[in-house]
Amino acid sequence: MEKFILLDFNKGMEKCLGDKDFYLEILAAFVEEDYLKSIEDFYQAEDWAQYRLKTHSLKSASLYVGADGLSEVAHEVELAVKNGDVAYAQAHHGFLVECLVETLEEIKMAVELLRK
Amino acid sequence: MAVGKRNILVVDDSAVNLKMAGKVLAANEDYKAVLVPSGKVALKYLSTNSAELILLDVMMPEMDGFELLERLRADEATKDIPVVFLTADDEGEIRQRADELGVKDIILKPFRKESLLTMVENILHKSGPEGD
Repeated sequence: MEKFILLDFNKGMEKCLGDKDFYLEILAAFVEEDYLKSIEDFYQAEDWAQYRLKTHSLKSASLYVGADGLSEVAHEVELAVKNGDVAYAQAHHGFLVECLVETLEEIKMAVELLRK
Repeated sequence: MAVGKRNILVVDDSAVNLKMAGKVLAANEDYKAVLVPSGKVALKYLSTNSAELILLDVMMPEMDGFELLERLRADEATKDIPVVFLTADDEGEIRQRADELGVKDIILKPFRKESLLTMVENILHKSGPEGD
């Protein structure tokens, strides 16, 4: 369990009403949303309106899986874009992506553990 | 058994959010949750079906919650359906527009099971067993 830094297993389970199968379903839905690709694509295209929508969506979805830290980073970037501070988003996009990649790795591990 | 169930339409572009709402609403066997991923699909669904309550995400691509709600209010068939906003942002701007558009309530995401079910029950109870 000490391998989990960004994903709070217990919090995610609690959000999923203590239902292990449902938590697995929510984790799968989170992965299928492919936030990494869409956020990266919108960033590269400098489509800030869509970028904001995706970071906004990531913010709330992260909370349901138990990734509060990722949610916080997404929220800060979303807020910056909303306020027209694209420079902040550009400076922190890399960190957001790192957090997302790490969270996805931890989700993979969590799914393996939950399926045992 | 579907007969007598109360149709609740949930509109959200996030599959995670839709699944969560569906799971919570399934706790009450009187409710039938219809989960749709966009305003466009919601309008299509409502063109041939009814709903007694709509749980509506505010920030969505293409058609946001405000636009969808304005379109529902402009249509005789859907203008009276109670709507609750689902949002991750507790902002004055959203509350103000929600008031202007006659939104019944605002539920913040991530929502808690009890608060969502209580709010749904309160609204459906006021609108009567057959809706209005």
